[in-house]
Amino acid sequence: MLTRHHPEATAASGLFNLIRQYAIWLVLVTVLLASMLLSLLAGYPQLSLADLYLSLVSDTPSIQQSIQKPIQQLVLTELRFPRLIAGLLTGAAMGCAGFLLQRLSQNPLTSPSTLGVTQGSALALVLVFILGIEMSPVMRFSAALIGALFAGGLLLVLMLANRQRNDTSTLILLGALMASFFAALTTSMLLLEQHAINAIRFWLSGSLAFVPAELLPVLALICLSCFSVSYLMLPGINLVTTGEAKASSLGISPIRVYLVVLVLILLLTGASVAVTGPILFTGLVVPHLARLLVGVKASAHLSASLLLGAIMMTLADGLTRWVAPETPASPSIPMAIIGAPWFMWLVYQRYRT
Amino acid sequence: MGRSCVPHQVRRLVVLDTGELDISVGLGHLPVATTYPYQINHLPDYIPADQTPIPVGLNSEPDLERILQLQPDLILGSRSVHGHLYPILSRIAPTVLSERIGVSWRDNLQLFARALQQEQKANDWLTGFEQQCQRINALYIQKGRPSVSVVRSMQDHVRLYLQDTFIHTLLDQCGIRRPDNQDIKGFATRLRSPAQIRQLEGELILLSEYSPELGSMIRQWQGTGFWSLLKGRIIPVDDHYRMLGIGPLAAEQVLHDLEAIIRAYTPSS
Repeated sequence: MLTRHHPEATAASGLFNLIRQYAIWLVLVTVLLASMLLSLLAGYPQLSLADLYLSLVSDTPSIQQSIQKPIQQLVLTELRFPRLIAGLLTGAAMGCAGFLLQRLSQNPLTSPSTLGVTQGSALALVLVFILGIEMSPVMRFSAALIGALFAGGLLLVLMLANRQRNDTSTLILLGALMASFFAALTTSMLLLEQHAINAIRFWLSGSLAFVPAELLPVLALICLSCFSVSYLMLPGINLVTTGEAKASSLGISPIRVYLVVLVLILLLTGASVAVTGPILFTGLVVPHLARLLVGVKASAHLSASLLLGAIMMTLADGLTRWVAPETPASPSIPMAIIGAPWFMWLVYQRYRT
Repeated sequence: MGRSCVPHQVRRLVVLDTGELDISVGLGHLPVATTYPYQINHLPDYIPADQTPIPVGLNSEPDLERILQLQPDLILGSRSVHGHLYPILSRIAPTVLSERIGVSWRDNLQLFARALQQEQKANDWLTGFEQQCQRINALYIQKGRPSVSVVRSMQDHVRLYLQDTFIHTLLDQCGIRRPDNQDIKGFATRLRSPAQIRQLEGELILLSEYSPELGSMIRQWQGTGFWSLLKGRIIPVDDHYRMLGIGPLAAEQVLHDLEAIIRAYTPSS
């Protein structure tokens, strides 16, 4: 009797697991939709669902007709929708970059901001601003990407030069060192050039306020293609992390996998810094939380990282505007409130033995 | 704060802010040294200085060692900005600080005129302004008293100037009407979103930009659909003397412009 019960029990628990999996995805999507709604309605002026409905059903000519409330429509089309799209894309981009880094290094402490890539990218943008170069969209993205490339490249060179101690702890320490080094350089540059401080201060703490609409197509192009390539790279990443020798024997070049993933990380980080400024901790918390929710299976882990990244960014941005509509704080603040203790907890977990 | 014994003939004057610079030049004393306005890094363009005074740091952080080396015989500043430095400054040279800056510029003019023994010149300035303001007021009434909104675009926000400002004292003296949301106590209202654009409204909107080269918020707003919601006439004005200079030379320029603006204004039917 007992032996007959056993398969039924596993089937039942299998079914339970399946339902649990679906429930998690359902919850994630629902939370995403709710935070999108919050991000569209909260802020100055606070909008109602009716305003949102009106702007969705009416096309441009009829906006002219509903002249009694044109400002609400303008707020949605000119400010809130671009802001929402930017938030979704940069959040997902940070989630994706963090996922790739944590997956490849097999360490939950790595992320673009804990390794200094975010800070390097911000440094390059501040430099361009201070030199008084015209901030066209192309210039903005190129500067951020070059900064990210420089920071990533420097880290790589330092790791390669230090072959005998080539473990992730060294990587994390070096990364933290570089992050504070770049941040210090940025601060000293701003102190030397006080004229720039006011214009940059707000952006430097990370902000989605007034995302220029002309940045969005480039951002979308970079992010969506990086997301697709990331899915394509999953088998390669899996093989490389289970064993480089095995990967080589299957005809996959580990170096190529590392290089492609590195480029993806730099592109994603650079693109989001170019649009929002440096927003720390998203890339750290999101992939780790995603793994806790959906498990280690690579494709599910990546999808959950993208979703959670988008959720965290829009939620943080929406919440800050809901709390103080006229003078909203930077979305970095809620991120840091969650992210900093999270990081400390991870370090504690890892090094307590 | 203390008594200062000022010399009879001031030869080496140091001023600590643009308001003091404007007033002393307006009273015929070119200072040997001056601070520079925070973030602009050069003297306001309208100051007619044939010899450029030596720079001694930023207005909020004067370079005390440099000032000491220059051996001034009088220092002019304001208590609100430099009050905490008074004990040091007064040991370098006799120091006269005005109580406030901006809104109190007429009092400051008379105070510094006493220190520089140019009281007659100060009075001439003030009577001149009174006459010019009466002229502008007559013209203004002819044009149907349009409301005048004062907007200044900074790098990361847009300001509406309220009652406690230099510019308001001049508009007020000319009897000019301000929009209701700007005719209130206080220095400035800060706006951060183009969704607030209607607060800029006025029949005449005087718009100045703090530093167009380093980014000006209003330019971003001008690129949005919100901009078309503004009905008033937008008139670009010079930021240097309207906002940075707080003294008779700046006032002269502001009133000169204001007269031209009102003269050119035709009420829309």
